[in-house]
Amino acid sequence: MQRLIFGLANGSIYSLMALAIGMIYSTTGITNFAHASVIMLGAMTGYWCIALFGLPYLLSLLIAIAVTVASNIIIYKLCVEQLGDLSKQVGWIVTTFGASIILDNVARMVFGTEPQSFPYLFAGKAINILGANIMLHEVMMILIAIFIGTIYETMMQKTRFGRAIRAVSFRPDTARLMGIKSETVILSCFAMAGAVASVAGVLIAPITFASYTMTSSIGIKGFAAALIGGLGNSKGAFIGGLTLGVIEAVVGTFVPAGFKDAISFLIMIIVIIFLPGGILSAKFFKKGASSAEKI
Amino acid sequence: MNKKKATRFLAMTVILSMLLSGCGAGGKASDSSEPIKIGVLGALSGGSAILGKQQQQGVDLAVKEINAAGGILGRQIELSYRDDEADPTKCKTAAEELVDKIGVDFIVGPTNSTPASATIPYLQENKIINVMCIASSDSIIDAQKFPYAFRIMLPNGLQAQALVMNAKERGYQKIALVGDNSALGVDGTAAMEKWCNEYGIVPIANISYKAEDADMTPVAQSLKDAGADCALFWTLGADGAKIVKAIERLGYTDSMDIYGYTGMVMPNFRELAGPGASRCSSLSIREWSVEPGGALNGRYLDLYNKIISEYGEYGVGKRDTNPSTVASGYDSVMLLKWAIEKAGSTDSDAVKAVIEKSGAEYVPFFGSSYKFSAEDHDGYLASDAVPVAIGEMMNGDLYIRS
Amino acid sequence: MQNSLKKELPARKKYKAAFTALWSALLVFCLVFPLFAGNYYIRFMTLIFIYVILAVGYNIAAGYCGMTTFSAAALYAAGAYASAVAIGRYNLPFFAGVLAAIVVAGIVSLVISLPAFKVKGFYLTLVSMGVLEIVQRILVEWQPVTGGSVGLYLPEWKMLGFTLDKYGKFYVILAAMVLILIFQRNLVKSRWGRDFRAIQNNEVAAGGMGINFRSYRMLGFFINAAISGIAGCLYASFSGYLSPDTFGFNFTVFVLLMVIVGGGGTLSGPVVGAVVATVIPEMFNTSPDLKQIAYGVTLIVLTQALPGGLVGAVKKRFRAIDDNTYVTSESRKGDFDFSNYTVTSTSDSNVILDVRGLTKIYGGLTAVNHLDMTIRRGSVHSLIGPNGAGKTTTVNMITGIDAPSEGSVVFNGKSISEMNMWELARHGVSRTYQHVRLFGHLSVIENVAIGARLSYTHGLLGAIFRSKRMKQEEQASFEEALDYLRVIGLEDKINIEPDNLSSGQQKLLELARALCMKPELLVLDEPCAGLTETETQEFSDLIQKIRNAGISVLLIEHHMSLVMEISDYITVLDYGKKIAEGTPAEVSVNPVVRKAYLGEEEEAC
Repeated sequence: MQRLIFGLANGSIYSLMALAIGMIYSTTGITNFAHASVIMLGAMTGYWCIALFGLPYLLSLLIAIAVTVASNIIIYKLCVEQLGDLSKQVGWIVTTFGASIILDNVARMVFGTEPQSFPYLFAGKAINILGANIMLHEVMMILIAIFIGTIYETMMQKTRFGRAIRAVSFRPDTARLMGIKSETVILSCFAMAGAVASVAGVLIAPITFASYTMTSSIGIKGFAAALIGGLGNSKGAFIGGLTLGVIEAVVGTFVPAGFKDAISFLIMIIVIIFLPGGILSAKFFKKGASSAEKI
Repeated sequence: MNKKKATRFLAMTVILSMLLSGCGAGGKASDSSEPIKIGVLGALSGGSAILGKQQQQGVDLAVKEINAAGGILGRQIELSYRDDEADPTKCKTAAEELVDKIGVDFIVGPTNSTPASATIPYLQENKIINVMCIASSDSIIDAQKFPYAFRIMLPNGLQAQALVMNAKERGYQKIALVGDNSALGVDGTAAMEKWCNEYGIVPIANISYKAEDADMTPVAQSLKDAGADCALFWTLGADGAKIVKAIERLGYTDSMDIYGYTGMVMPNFRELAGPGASRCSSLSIREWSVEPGGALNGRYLDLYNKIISEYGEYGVGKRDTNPSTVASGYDSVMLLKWAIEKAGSTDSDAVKAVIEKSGAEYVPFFGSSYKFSAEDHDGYLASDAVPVAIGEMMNGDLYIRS
Repeated sequence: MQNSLKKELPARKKYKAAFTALWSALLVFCLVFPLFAGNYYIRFMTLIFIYVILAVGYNIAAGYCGMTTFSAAALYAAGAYASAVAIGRYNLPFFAGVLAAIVVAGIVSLVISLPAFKVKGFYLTLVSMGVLEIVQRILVEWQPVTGGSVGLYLPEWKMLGFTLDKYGKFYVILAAMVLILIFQRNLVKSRWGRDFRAIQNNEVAAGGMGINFRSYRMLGFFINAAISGIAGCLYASFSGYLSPDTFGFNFTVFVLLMVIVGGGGTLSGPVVGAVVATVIPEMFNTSPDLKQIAYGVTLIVLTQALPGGLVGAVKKRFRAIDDNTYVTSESRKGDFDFSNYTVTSTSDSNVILDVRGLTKIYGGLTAVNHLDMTIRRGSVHSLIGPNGAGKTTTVNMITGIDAPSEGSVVFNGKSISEMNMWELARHGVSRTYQHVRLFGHLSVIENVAIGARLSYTHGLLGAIFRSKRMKQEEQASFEEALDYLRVIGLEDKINIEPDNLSSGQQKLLELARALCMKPELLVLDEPCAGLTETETQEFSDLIQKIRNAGISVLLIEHHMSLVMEISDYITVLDYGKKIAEGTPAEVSVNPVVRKAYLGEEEEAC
């Protein structure tokens, strides 16, 4: 039971990552390879505010969000915007990877090399549910992820801005013709992804410890979660993330811990083979990854 | 158009001039007015960057001091650092650059064992002495195969023996071994298994995990399921802390004692591991740990104060390095200085002979004394390894003996 | 016009001469390099050669075939370890190690591309990342064979009885690199290169040309694996020591970077990329922090300043170097006359295509509803109807792009409703598309010449070794392509890219491409959409000629005058159902048809 909750908690972080990846994917068709580093940046900024400047938790979180939103916008401006038509080339892989190298190394130089402890929510209090020792922090992780996911989905379906995002995702040129500023929409998506990154960062930092390498193992998993849920689909991101967390928890129980990642990947590959579009095959966010297109 | 052309032209010019400047090999500087060149190999970026940083701080401190006092045999030391990113290929390339292009006389490092494995054979071919102060794998020190490689850090085999012996003496019945599946952990757990065998102990569990994994609960669960009363940890810092925390989550802390090798220690272990840290002790360096209520003394205290004055106090936003490891980097250079002066030259064979024959005469700043000989290039004395509690730290960065 | 034609030939030759001189100079430089460079630079260069080989392998799959995978390190590792085990543990000679490397790397590539059979794009990325993790796990855990994470030492590199010293290693690896570069060049400048690029540019159209893009992708990836495996084998023997931590995700990205920065889909891109990616960080060796930052900055700046990579940027200026070598605009001003063209058929029957009860249901929508249609051999059969009537869907089912929900399609007596696009092409069906699907990175003449691929008999080895047969077949198909281009009036534009043509010319080009396949049945999907009156008339004349040559034509069109003028028979669809059929005269007075098109008018005109 405990493993399950822990798996769901981890999974909620993957969900947040997948959500942010999906936000950017849906409007640009690319995945931001620097995202894991941005999460780390959010966590480290939060840590410094709390530990070095003694600021209260919430304020530190807000500062961290401000920093990651800014860095995501900078990443967009410097690494993505200039590339032009993103569907026709893969240069964004190189530029976003370059951004992640810079972020990681700057973090190392500024924040130091040693992992640091990061405060849990509710000061790490744990409660007992059905005989399992569950931290309130972990419950909050799941709830916050659901909350953010729901807000995003509501925004997408019900607000004008959400419709604008969907329009840009489907046909950026037509959207532009209809008076929607594609650039602004894309920029906003990058900004939102940055904000979500900080939240994910401060939530996972108590578990992974805050250091410049804290997201090195998680980065790929967020991406994988986005894929098995169906890229660009926020419900899918959610399902994908939680599924991956649960898979890992289950696999970890039966298999030597060293094999956990390999087996998890294997399971994901098998899922993809049978459900090429992801668990919830994305319906109208299918950009690029389709079989023979209808003419 | 101009930007493209300019970039291409620049790239070509740079490439060609770099290549052409490589004309002619660099040679060793043996002229007495020339500086003595020491190369430093270590991980300065990536996941192992803390190791390279610690080594660097120690080496820098030593060289600064030596040069201010007139150098070695009247010659200044010239340092060249290379980041091997803990990658074997890059380490060998960097070593080649140091030896062939720059013409170093000696090398300190590498800090990680697999890059060392890749590089040391090449150093032997070129008769370059390298002193290692961090990499602890047994396979990289061998007086016959690698005659010019020396180490002043406690090697894995000795640590494993100490840990197992300690567990046996304390009478534990259910001993579990825990290590990660990188070269480090594999080597360490293999050594521990060997010594378990020697002492007639059958470990009830041999648990491995992937380094830097976020979720260590499976490890803790395996320990609990096996009912271990003692666990021998071959874990690196943060990983060990995560496991201890996971054990506490499962409520198993009070049922088990944990003993780790030197890599397990890190200054903020208690903070990261939580209350379970009180059940943990580790091996550490005698001269760099204190009795409860005591302090460092003698030359070790002097060096400690030098480290603080050079690099600051330990703390968030300040120095984050472990003073004993910094001291090991410092000592690497000091050992070389002593050996060169005693040999009267920088010739590798002469220096090697000095270390082998008279190594015990050297007064170290890291260990208490080194036991080098023609058969043994591992200097650190096993008796200098002491158990320390890692619950409390003195001054935030010194270990208290248990 | 004539003058610019005359200038094109010398331009290509001039550029070619210049570039050949450049490459020769570089080769000579490499050959004499060890004589004056120090040990360090010899080793450094040797490592660059190995990286070039890796980059070439990746370039073939990703740059030419469009398979951007993240498994470069896994293939490299497979090759390195396979050869290390063969040479080190089993004491086999070096070349056996090479073979082992190719085999094991090939197996890994199959493991990746078989699931990728079904998946593409980012999903391929996930599969390749997963395989990378699994391979690393195997390397670490399978200790008895791989030495585990502690690593594996190899014995000294012996080849044919000689122990190689650093010079030997340098020259052997240089030779390997040169051979592989030649292999790449010969592969790309052959019909295989064209086919790969066609798949990357427009998969559906490639399928329509008879290219089984799934197996071609697997082939492209296998070649990538084999070359990467060779690189791994060379690395293992060169370095003397292997450990799993070399072969991680970061290295995979490094290979990708080399290719993208150098220029994917170019011959010299891998070379330039490898040099840039290793030399630029090298310059910052003395300050490790700066080195990392500089590396990141270089990646960001270079990629954006030079999209298409360094070589891509250079090529824009020297575009003519890519011109085809077989024909020029003036070659063989022959007497190609359409009327001389005859089409052979496998069947004698009068009916070439018979459609019975063809149905397509999408979710709740019935797009095509139990359609019966018979096309007579040698006729122009038009399919008309209002927008959304299901014409394109019908035609997609006939040409293998969609599978019917119900019903049958019989071509020359054979049922084809289960066949793939590429199988249909082999059977003599070719088509054009409603939205033009030309191959953007192939030149105009290459777009047409690719149609002749169905008749090729030379294989991969023939292409690599430039056999006589290959040259003859290529020469023949290019000459034929030129003939078709003359018929449609594009003979003076043979070497430019199709994007530079007007939309009318593009449609004509697509027609020429379809004709080059020598089909029995030619399907045209709204070929005159967006054309001017004159262009439409040109098209009409062409279609007549095509029909007279014996080719059957199935035409979807909205231009009523064109349809009435050239059709022998017309089928009318509305809401997926056939509402009328007959000769143009019959259909034009049919009241049901008039109602569907013109509304409620009941008066005859």
